[in-house]
Amino acid sequence: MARTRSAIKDTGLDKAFYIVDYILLGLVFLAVIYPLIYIVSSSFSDAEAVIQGRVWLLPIRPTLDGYRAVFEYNDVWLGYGNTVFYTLAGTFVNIVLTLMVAYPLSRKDFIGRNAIMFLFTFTMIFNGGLIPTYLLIRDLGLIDTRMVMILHAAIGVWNVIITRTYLQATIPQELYDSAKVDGASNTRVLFSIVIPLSGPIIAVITLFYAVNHWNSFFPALIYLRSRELRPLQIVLREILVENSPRMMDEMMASLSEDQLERMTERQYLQALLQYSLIIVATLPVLAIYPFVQKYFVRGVMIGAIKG
Amino acid sequence: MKKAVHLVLALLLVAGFAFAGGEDEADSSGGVTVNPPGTYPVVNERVTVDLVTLYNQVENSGLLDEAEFTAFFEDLTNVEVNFVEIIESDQMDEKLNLILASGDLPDFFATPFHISAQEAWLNAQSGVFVPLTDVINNNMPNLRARLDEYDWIDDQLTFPDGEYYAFPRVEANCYHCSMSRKYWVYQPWLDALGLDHPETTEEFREMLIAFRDGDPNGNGMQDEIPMVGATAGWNGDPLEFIMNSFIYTDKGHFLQRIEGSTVEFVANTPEWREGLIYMNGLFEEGLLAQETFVQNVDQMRALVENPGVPIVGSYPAGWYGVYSVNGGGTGRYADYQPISPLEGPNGERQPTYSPFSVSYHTVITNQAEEWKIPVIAQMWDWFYEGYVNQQLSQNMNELGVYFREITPEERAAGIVARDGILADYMPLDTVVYGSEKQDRGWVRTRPGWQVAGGRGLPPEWADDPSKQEWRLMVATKQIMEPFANEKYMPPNLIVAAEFQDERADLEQIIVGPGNTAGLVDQYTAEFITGARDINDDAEWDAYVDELRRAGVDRWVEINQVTLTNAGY
Amino acid sequence: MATEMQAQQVAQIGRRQRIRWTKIAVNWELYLLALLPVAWIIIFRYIPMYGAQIAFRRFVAGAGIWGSQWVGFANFMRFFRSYNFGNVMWNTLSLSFYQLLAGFPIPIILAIFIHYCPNTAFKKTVQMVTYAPHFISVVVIVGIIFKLLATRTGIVNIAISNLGFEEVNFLGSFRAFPHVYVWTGIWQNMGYGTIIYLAALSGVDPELHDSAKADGAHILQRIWHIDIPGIAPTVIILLILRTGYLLEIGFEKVLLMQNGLNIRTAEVINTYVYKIGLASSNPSFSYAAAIGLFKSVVSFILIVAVNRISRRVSETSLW
Repeated sequence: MARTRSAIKDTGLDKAFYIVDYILLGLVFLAVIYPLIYIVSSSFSDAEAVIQGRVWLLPIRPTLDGYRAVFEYNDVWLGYGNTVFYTLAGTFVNIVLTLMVAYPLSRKDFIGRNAIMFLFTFTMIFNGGLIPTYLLIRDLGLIDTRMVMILHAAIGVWNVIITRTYLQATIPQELYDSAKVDGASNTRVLFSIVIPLSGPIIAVITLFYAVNHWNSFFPALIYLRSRELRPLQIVLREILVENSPRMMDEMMASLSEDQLERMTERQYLQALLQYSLIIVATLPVLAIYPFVQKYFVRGVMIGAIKG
Repeated sequence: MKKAVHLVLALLLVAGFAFAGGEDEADSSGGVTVNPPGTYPVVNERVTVDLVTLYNQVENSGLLDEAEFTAFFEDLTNVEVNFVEIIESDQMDEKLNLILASGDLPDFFATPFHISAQEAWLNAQSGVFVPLTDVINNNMPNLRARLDEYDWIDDQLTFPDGEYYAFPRVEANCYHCSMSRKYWVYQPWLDALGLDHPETTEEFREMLIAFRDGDPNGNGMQDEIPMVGATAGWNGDPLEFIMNSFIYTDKGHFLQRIEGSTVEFVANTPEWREGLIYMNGLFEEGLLAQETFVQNVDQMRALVENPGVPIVGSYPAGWYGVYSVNGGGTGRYADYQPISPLEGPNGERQPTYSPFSVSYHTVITNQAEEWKIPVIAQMWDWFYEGYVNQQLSQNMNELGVYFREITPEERAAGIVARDGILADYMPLDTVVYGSEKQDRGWVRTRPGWQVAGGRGLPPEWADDPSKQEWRLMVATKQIMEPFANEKYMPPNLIVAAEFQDERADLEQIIVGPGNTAGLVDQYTAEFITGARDINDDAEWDAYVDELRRAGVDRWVEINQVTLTNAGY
Repeated sequence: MATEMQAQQVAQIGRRQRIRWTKIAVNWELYLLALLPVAWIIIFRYIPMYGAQIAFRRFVAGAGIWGSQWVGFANFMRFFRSYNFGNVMWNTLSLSFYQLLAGFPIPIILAIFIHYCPNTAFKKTVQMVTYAPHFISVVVIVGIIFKLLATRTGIVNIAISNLGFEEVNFLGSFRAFPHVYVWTGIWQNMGYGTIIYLAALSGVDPELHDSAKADGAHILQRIWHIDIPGIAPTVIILLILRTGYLLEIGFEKVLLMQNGLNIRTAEVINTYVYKIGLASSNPSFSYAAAIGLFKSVVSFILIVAVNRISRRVSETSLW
């Protein structure tokens, strides 16, 4: 996506700025890329090398064991499938509902906007807690259904706020006024002016909502029971065994000799699994980002509308 | 939309009121004839009971309804088990509370390790869990016999009002778990330096100095780490092993029992100070690595499994497989040998002792109809019959296929089980130690009963250093048990309701529950690393004073009252 | 005269009210749009609020919410009177403020630099790379932190000692803890934080930049006079919202990094609540709920205060 270069030349200071820009971004890049390389390398390395802490930058004795262990687990595909469904359906519902309330809230002539804004913001700070929420979900008959994953967090107040802020800042009142002069109804304004101009913010909240769905773990834990409905994060957690001391005590006490043998076999794998699991779990989310990126181009929307 | 809201509100109010009074159920719908205890099937017409249970994903995939054993058991008893929910043990705590709070209780729970004595008692008092004394005495001949055999189990199972409220799970044959604060020393270095296992704290120190200076790994560099721990690992804090040479130490509460009935706090005594001075000395001399207080399990393991030359001389751990990969890697797992507790300057010598505790495995709720209670009881009694039934329910391990009875010759040869007690059975060669999960049985859902003896450890295991059960059994029996005493705090003590909150607060501040750091840990780390000067009287007094202000006297008091009330 | 004025006032009020109702009627579509979301929030967020009373009761799961005994402010007093209340509050607030002061501006600055990067390929790569660490689980991140900052084997300390200085015990020092915690957090999350600012920056009208350039303004002037005011509402709103989360700092990450040597500065409200839950042999829902309610009230006061200041100083406010 080429940035429309203005015909006016940059000053000398501008050029210096760009050099500093490159250097700074380069440093940030190097600083941040290290953990990523480390994780990828570890996930492909030999288990023993990982245990011995020998992996620093490049994989040592590359193997696919870490990934094999993950994908041998049949439920991983089920988990993927469920998560994709929850993410797509959930995000769609999220965006629709968010726009439905953020647009009116962004209109200065919308009487009651402050009251509604307060209504929403209050819930960010106060909530009833786990038990009443669980009881509500249960009473609505949503326990152990697919709908609950879509409905329980259908609106993220944070995202409503940033959408409203964006709309307020980017859509000038003159646009609304001239539309009204042209006799357009509020709905028509929504579809022909607001939405086209909201490219960047819709991209952002899509990303935020989608990521939230993708990483969702705790709600699935408490609201779902059937194995077929489990999302990816829950399935992945079953593969990775926590080595917490309490687990050790419990397992030492209850497992028999051969079970303990098996457990130590898995010890090898655990070292790799934490890394390969991250890759498996987050690669799809990383892949969404380029699609979102193209909306962060300066002024691409406003220009189009004005013309 | 408003109507929906009203409807929901109404629903909620109703739901709210519904559990306000506490459910009353027990409609004793008769018509179900229960056969005499000990005979099967339990009932003549097929009935269903609702169960919520758990599984551990290391052992089992959680598909209990499809397990072979389920079909077998249902046929045997003629009772169908409806698995309302099968929860993974990690999520059990949260889910259990939600289930209890929602009021949608099953007939019974089979959730070992997740209902503490305190919780069981609390729910018993509020009527959620029903008393089981009658059914245990009248309908469960096996369990009754077992309880008569073992007083300590009977005691722990009896609640303050004299009733039973749970069916027990006792897996007391993790014998090495009872003295799990072990200390492992690298034998090849001892051999290279011509040293024996240290028996006193002085000899221990000399050993560490030899490790540091004698270049036992032979590479010409002084890169040896004589002693290192990882406070985050399973019993990876050297504190317990070393301090026991000065005064009885248990990080769980820092208390000891004098003459069976008096509770004393240990972490502010002169003996404790002496121990800290000793450990500070080790630290200052470079014998105790500073990573001990900071590193996590992965880092520790990397040190122990150092590629090329070994660099770790000794470390504390529950077993050598925590930091050294068992059966693999560098092979060092075979060379770390346990040593017995050291004798301190005042003659103290003991291991931290964790007595066997009963787990409150199965509870029946007030949602179950009256007639179901003896049915469930008689079903469950089958598990307490003996080793054979236990193995069958574990993973359909059948006698003659998975194990066999012990022969008189083997008996005479003194073959023991993993707890060091004479065995009754032996494994068969058809046993394959594979990595599949035990999906054929009820691993955790069954009330485990393994108190003494059981399956013998094959003598050939003595030669295989990766057979940890053998090594640990030997280690515990031979070098730790001789020094065990009665200073430990008994398990499953029930704290009176009025003290619960206070006790929790004190525990959080002073002791640091779970594996977390409390005041004692904080000061200990500072004194040992020299951040505070242990030899400075003013610093020590300040420490003792802070403990006092934090409420250490009250900590002792509450625990004393609890102990006394339990009959000690 | 008086009655005439009164009559005028009444007429004025009447007119204003009529205008008000007209405005509402004209915008009826907006109200219709907002209806569904408002309904959702009432059902899913407001109805369960009756549960907040758990904080005032001694909750026993078997008895349900309504059946549990009422204890008034006892749970709150238990928290305020607890031995390390002061220490916990201080740690939480200071760590949070540190994180806010250091961590809030950085994504903004980074976003500006990314936005102005002339090379598109490089720009997109940097965005992608900085966005990724946010997704790494806290366990793995702490593992990496431990590995890098360890004494003796950690590369940071190896570099330090090679330069001739003494090794720093980053992980075992209560003085170092806040710095390690905050800066590793920035390291991990700054990329993800730029996203909203990048979106806001792309909403700035490029014609403003063109005319500024024509007037001879250099880039820094343009950033200062056009971009910053352009994204100011976003920045301010996010800042206001952030103050509402001050007490929520850390839990898993802090818990994993705690040890005997740094617990002095490493005990925050959330880890405290967790430990009480571990220690208490019956789950203290009420106590946790009370602390949660306390956090909420403080956060609410903070947000309202900051919002009011913001409304006066700038024109931006939440409501």
